[in-house]
Amino acid sequence: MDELIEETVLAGASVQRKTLQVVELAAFGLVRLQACDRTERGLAVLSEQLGLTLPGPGLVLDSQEGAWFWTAPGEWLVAVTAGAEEQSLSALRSRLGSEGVACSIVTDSHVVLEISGVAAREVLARGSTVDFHPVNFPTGKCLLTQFAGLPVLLATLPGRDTFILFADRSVGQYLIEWFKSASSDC
Amino acid sequence: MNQTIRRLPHARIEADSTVEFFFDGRRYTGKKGDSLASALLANGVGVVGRSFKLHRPRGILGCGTEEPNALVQLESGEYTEPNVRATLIPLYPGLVAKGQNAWPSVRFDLLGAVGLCKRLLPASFYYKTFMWPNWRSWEWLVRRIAGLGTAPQAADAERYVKQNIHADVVVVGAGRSGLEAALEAARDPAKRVLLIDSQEEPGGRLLGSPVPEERSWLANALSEVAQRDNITLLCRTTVNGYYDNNVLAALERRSNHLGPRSGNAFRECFWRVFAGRVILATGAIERPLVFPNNDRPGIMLASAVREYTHRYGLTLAREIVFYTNNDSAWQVALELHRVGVKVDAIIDIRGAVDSALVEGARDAGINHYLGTRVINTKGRSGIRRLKIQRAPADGDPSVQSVESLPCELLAISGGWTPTLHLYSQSGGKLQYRESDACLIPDCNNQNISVVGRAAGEFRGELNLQCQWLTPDVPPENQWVDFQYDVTAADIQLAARENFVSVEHVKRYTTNGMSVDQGKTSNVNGLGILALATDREIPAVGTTRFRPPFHPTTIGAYAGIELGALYKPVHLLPAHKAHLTCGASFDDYGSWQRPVCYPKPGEAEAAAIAREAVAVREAVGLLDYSPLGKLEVVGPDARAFLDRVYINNMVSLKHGAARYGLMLNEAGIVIDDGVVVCLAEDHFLLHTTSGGAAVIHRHLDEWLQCEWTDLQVVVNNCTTQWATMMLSGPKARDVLQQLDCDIDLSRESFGHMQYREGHLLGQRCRILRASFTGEVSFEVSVPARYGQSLWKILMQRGANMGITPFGIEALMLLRTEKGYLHIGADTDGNTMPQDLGWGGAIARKAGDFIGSRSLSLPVGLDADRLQFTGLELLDPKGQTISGAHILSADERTTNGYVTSAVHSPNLNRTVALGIVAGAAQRQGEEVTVFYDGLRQRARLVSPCAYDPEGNALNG
Repeated sequence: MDELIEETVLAGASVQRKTLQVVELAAFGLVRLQACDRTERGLAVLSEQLGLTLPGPGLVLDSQEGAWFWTAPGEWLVAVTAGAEEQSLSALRSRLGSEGVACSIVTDSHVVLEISGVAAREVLARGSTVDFHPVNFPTGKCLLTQFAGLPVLLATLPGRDTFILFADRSVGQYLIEWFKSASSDC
Repeated sequence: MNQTIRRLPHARIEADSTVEFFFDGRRYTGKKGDSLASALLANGVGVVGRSFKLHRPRGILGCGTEEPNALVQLESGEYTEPNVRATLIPLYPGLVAKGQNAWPSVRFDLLGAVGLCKRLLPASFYYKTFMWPNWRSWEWLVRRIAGLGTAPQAADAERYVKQNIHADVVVVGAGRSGLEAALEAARDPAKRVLLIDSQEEPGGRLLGSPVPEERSWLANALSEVAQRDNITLLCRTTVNGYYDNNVLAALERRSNHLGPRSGNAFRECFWRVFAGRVILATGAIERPLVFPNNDRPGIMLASAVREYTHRYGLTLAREIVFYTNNDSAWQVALELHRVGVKVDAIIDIRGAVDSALVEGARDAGINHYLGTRVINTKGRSGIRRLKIQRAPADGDPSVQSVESLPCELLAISGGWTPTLHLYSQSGGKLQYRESDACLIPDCNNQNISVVGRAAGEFRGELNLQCQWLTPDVPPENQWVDFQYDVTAADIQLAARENFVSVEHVKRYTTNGMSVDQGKTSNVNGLGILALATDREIPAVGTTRFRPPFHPTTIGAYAGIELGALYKPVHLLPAHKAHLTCGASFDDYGSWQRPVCYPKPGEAEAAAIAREAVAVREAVGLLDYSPLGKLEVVGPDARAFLDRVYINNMVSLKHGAARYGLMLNEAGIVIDDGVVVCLAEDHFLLHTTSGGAAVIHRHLDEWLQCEWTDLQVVVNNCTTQWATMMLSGPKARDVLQQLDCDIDLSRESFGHMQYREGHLLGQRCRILRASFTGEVSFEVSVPARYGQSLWKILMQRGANMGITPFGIEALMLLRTEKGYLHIGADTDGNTMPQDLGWGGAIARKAGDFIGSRSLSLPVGLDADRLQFTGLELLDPKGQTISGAHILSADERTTNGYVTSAVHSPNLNRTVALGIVAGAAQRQGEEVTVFYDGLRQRARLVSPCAYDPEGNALNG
């Protein structure tokens, strides 16, 4: 009996330096939520339906069902436990009703990297013009930006001094090679 | 030069250390803390380079970035770097350097014979000589002997990195003014201060100060800098560029001081600095005086003499003479005397000098010659004597007295030029200050301030008497630009030839165009031009400084983005499986995709043909994952798509698929693909492979900027799914072997239909569309299963002759079928009516993007290039994409071939093209022209294979 076997993007590849570690986070399942009505009123209704104060630009909300990352006006990426995407999707849809909001599972289209170590901010600043100083990039912040020539979502989870990088799965290998090269002095 | 046996005790070098190095093949030793320049001087090496044009011997003139002469080729092979200033290379063990622009060596240079032809090489020599038709007769010679240094032949073995940094306050220059500014700014703990200095250690001129109070002040300031958490100090870092919005570019020489092969460290770091406010404390550069034969080795800026004496502890010569027009050189001379270095004389063009200085010189036993000019120098490889002329008190030139003085080192000072390159780059304007004959900051629109010597604050009056060149003696040997051999006579010649603009004179004479960009020559050149054109300096103006301030290695600009990291590469979910199948890869857009799967020893062309035949006769498997997949969702999704495509999307039924053409507002075709209706408010758009991001942006722009009333969102799910295309008469048979809850039979699942279900226990989407002309199933599963699906399909299809095929076989198959490939078979003018879609447009009731543009006169032109098939009349004939279709008189092009392949299935060339008025010219013969070859061809229907579509609907 044939069976489809799943493989993570990086299949265990990582960067392990003294002051920098980059590993693939396979613990997240990802759901994209997009509101058709992006007006203030529309978003207020959405918040009410969800029972959440949805995070605004550049912010992350750590809720019971997962972390909500603001990605665009009226759009959020919700990180839930891997494998629980279908249940989360159903739960969201039941609260939101049938029309006006698109909920999609996007786990497979992403590679999620966790970047940690004392050199994390320095190495990240080699790939992006974002100000990674803790004053400007504290925990609980997220940012859509260009990193190593690629569009990515960079974030810090509340209470954790590590960075999470979301990128398209097709560039996962490129990013690992980039981090290896950029951190060879770490 | 004098060899220094014992360094002066207050030097900032490790006196007990010994560092071995090699220059021009000879072994020397220096001290830890030396620069290459100071170490060469310590060893008595006088000639360190040869000038660019005339190969005149040149010695060290300065002590920093201003050095125009001591350019060396550092190291060799894959570590070599040309044009490195010896003054900026910290000595490291085993350093190997070579003088440049000389053969066999800078000490004895046979190319110095060029100097005999000096009269034949005036300013603008190049412009006057390299003219049609004979410039080539000179080129071979000039290319052999011109140039500074040798470009590396091997790839650079060192590694470089780029780094971004933000700061509230950026201070450029860590001399006294810079340190004061940085400490002042850092007193606000909320401010992030970045202090950048180009030297090996901070301190600027204080490093060369013999004054205990100044050294003590520096130590205290550096201690405070170290204690402050909000100051970041970057040494060995030169700010080279200043751009809009206070963005600076700087080069850090991170491990250069360790020499090559220095472990894991990056050699250089290219910093992009984002500053709230910038404080320039970049100091000032001393100007040489211009007089006959002022370029001999042993003639050095007074500031450099100070530095080499006090910072490096050198006693440079036995007979030291100063020549100046201002007070600063007097101070240096007296400082030398105070540490025991004998100064023989001070020559000053000024008739009267501050009495305190004169008395100080007298007390020190230093002869001084006031109102005196140097009118010549003597010596072969170094200066030996000076010829000086004392102006008579009554001003009668006939009674001027001329003397000759012995001199081994001539320390010169013609005044100071504030270092305002960065200020100028930032958009700042400069103003001329008559009293010091220098340019100082005027006004600037950026948040910038200038402090210290860069602002013209010289900590005391210079009492300068201007002298741009030495009068009453020939200007031919009065050198202005030491690096490029520009003399005062050259600038005067340019003025006589009516070059008025300083920018033109710079380029005509090459004054200031050298590697150092005229750090010591610009202002003198300006003064001489002003005299030659009888204007004041402000009327002459200045040249605009451009980045970089100091040469930057190409490696630093590249950083780590080399080789595999040159640009981001997108890999397929089943990339490893393709490697296992022997795929050869190429870049298609940003994706790395299999070209084909050649068997051992098989040429790519043969592999492509084999794969194409396999698809027609059995079944092929293609990784189609990059096919763009956009989901359009919302109550207004259908209405939105009807406006986006020229096709009717109103009638598209659930589970059905329809081909669509997408235009921009100019009516130009930008994309095509299959649209699937997943639900009444949910559609799946397929875009050109690799075009998903662009089309996503296009759709979002319309939604965000134009049709904000539509309740629609677009979700790019291209990489969420791994898509495998099974194509060929046995495609269904292969798929039916797998556990799938979708009825795959011909009757239930026809062409241009879409189904969702489960395949091997996982969610799947299957589309029946075809780009090969054969029965095709585009099977999508979540990307994490892509590799596994590929392997299973290959295994299950083995007994049916399944063949993996690459993009080139796909292109071959679609060309046989005459299927359009946007971007290949269209150009930036193609409208849908050029592709035979005029009827569909006419039938469409609703409006759509680009519709208005289609009815403009340009869209109705009968001679528009239109899509067509091309059949070569010679059955064995071949052509290629890009071949021209000639007009009837063969004088102009009438279109061109857009796709051409040799069809293994038809055993002839199959070609597509866009040809003027092709729709009305079907059957007409035309001439196809490429690379001198003319072939006759007939305009035919694009579809050359299975025009009835039997294979497609099988």
